[in-house]
Amino acid sequence: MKINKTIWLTLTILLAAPLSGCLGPGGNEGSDNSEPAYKVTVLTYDVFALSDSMLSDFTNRTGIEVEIIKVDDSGTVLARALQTKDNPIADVIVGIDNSFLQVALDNELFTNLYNAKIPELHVEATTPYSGNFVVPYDWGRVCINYDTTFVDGENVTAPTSLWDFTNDTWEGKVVVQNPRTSSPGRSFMLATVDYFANDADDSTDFTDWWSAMKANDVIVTDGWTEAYETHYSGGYGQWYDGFVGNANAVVSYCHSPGVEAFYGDNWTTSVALTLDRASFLQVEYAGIAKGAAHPIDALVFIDEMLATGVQSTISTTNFMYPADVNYTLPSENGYLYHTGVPNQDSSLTAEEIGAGIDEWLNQWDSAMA
Amino acid sequence: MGKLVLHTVPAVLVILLVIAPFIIALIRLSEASEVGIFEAISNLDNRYQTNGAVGFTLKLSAISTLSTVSIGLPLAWWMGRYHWPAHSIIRAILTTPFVVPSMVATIGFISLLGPQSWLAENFNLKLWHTMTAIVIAHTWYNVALVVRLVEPAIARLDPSLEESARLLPGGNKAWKRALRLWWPVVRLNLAAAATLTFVFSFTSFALVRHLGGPGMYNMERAMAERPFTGIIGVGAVDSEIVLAFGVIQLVILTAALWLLTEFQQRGKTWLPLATEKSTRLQLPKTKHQKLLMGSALAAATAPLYFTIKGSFSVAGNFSFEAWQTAFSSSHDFALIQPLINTLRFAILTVIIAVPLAWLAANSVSTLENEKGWSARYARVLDVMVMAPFALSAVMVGYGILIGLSHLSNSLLLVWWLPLIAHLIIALPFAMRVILPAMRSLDPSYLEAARTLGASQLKVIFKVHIPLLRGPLIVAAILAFAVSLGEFGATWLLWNTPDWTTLPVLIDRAYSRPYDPIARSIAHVAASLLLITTLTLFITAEKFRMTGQEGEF
Repeated sequence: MKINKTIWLTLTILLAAPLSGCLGPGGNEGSDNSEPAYKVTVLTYDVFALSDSMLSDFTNRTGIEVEIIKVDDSGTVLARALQTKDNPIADVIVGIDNSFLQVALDNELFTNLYNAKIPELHVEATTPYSGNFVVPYDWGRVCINYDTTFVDGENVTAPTSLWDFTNDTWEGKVVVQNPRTSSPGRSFMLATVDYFANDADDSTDFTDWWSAMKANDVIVTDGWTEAYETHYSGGYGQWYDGFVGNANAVVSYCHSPGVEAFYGDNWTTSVALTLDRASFLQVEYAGIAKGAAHPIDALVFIDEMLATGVQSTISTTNFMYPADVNYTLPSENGYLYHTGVPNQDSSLTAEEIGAGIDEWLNQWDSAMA
Repeated sequence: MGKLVLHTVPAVLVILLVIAPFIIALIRLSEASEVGIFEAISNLDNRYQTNGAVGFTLKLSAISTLSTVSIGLPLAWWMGRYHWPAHSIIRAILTTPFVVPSMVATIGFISLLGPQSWLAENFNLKLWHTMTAIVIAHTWYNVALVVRLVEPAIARLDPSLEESARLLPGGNKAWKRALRLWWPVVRLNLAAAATLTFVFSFTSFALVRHLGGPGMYNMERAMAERPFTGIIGVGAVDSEIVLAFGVIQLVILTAALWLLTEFQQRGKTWLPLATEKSTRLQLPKTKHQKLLMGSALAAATAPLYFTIKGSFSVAGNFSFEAWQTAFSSSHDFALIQPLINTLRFAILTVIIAVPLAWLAANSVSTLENEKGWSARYARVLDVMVMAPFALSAVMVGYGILIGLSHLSNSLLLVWWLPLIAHLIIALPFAMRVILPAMRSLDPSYLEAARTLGASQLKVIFKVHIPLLRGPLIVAAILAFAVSLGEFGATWLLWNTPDWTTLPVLIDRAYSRPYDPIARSIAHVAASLLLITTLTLFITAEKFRMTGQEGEF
């Protein structure tokens, strides 16, 4: 009897402790009575457009509480959505791009958006996919940027083919991102698939170029920030602690030089390399999870992402082109002027990417091993 | 009946908490990867990131261990043999790094070895993004361990033994005494410290992630960023990689830990001991010794100094802005909520892990002296509690992410999910402190108490707890510190702002673009963690039992 008391005491301490109110976070456990009447849960990564002020403004106007589930990157957004698709943890999924869209569609993650208030969209935003399951909220082109203090036109001239980066001139001076962990990295890899499939030389494909790049000591980072801030000599990273600047070309956005100029009083040494098919049109989507607990509130939230408030500021909050055709990059401080626009983007549709991406990623892995 | 329950409860809890998630995760990984384990392992070499990762991990751990031992052993010798002014303060400084959270060390070494660091700019030392940088950081961490484990063995040996040895032909020269007297004395403790150094270097994540630079992957880093792990149909490659690394890691770490228990079993002292003080020589130290000891102290404190210094600097200029922004509520990197989260996890880890470790230690120490199944049960329970030592933090994270939360999606959002990881990781540390103390408890106290008619409860509160007060406090502080600094598992699980702990916030500050103040705030967060850990560490020192110096 007495021994049992001990056990009960211990068990009570063990079990009661984590439940005690003083230690638990207040008010955000799901099942208590304080559950707001209107609520939407959003699964996303660091999308800057979803700022605290945008969210609180949204809640003030609509009465809908927003709970954000934020993961590290766009790949993890898809992973969490897939992992929980039978019993979705979020109503709205924001941030899956066209490199992974088909995987999401094949797995039936989304519900039809036929009631969404969609403005007229830029043609680029609807190029990879124009169906009803997701809606684009921003887009941009991923391509190589280079530093004109290195590519001075005399000692080094601007590359006219991606093969130029496999020359001695560029040995150890190009930084890219791992396509498995970074969405710009994935986008650029897809551009190379298309570029080398359509170039004059039929005997080589993208894996040969990547092998040659590996032999030429290409730098591969996990994410965009490290590639651009730490390694790229032509970006704003040079003003920051931790800058190495050992690469004169980086995979970034064709409008990154525009962003540099926008913040640098119309001054930048960075230029986008706009070779045909060497840039990838990346579109980011939002959609409502199939089986969402709050589909109506979710729809209101999707409408908000496409409304003027977000679309008119997305070029300076998320540093991407807005999806709404009525807005574009600002011309202020040379943002638009320094943005590169290629004559032809790579032309893979979401469907083609869906069919090929697994294999291409595996091929990239072995080319770089 | 009551006894049965008392001894079953810890096992059941440990199985539910530690073993089950890992087994479910392994099953899930095998389901999701489309190849068998052997093919998965052989495929590692054909892929970017994973090719060479096993070899690099072994090389990094081996070099870190060698470097740690070659610096740690002389320090332990000087500390054990000579009496230094402010001896206990010197020891505290040299052994502090071991309890410093890995993200704090990371920040410290980025500031110390980074491209704009004082060393880089004044001495042109370009160690940034090299293996050397990681080895230096590992050495900094683990020298503390060598000093902690080896110094007492040296300090406690009865000096008359050395006097006798001098008179014998086998000990008339210094090298002969080193070989025949001192080596046997330090051998096992040194081996234990070296093994632990190897284990910690083997599972290093934060340091490799941030100091290693592009293309430098140990197993832990190569398996950490695999978002599709365990997702059937999509995550075949990711699952295959995590499965292969998980199994390799389990085998190597289990072997290392088996070695460790061997060393510790055999290391139980049989030599005549003196009390510590009497053996330290009051000899004058040579200039060289003073200089080297001074450099060791400087090296031990430098990363910590630069961590704090960085919190008063924004974009290279002296400023309080980072501290002000960190404690305002408007910024994305505001620290108050992450600080509360961190403390909440740490407090709950102590509240749950310490009693559980106590229950488990009680069962193990009671049953291991009985015969037959009881003793075997005790052994198995001991091994189960220690199992997380053979898993890295990232692997523990995967166990929870794809093992436990596979049972119910809604677990992915509950605020206490990361707590389970903290418990799993802290439990063996608490157990390692409580169990030896429990073993050394004289059973006659307990018998006397029972003979006098004390209930089990009374025995616990009047005998057990007062006698074990010191170790229980040390265990609590250790569990608190482990939770405070936990990074790999919490980072892997991170889903909601409720889960942002200070180490996770520091990491995020370094992957956030366009934001110089974020990094200064990372220094503020690291400074807070550092100050808390140091306070705890100094407190813990006061409660260590004599004779326990050779433990963690």
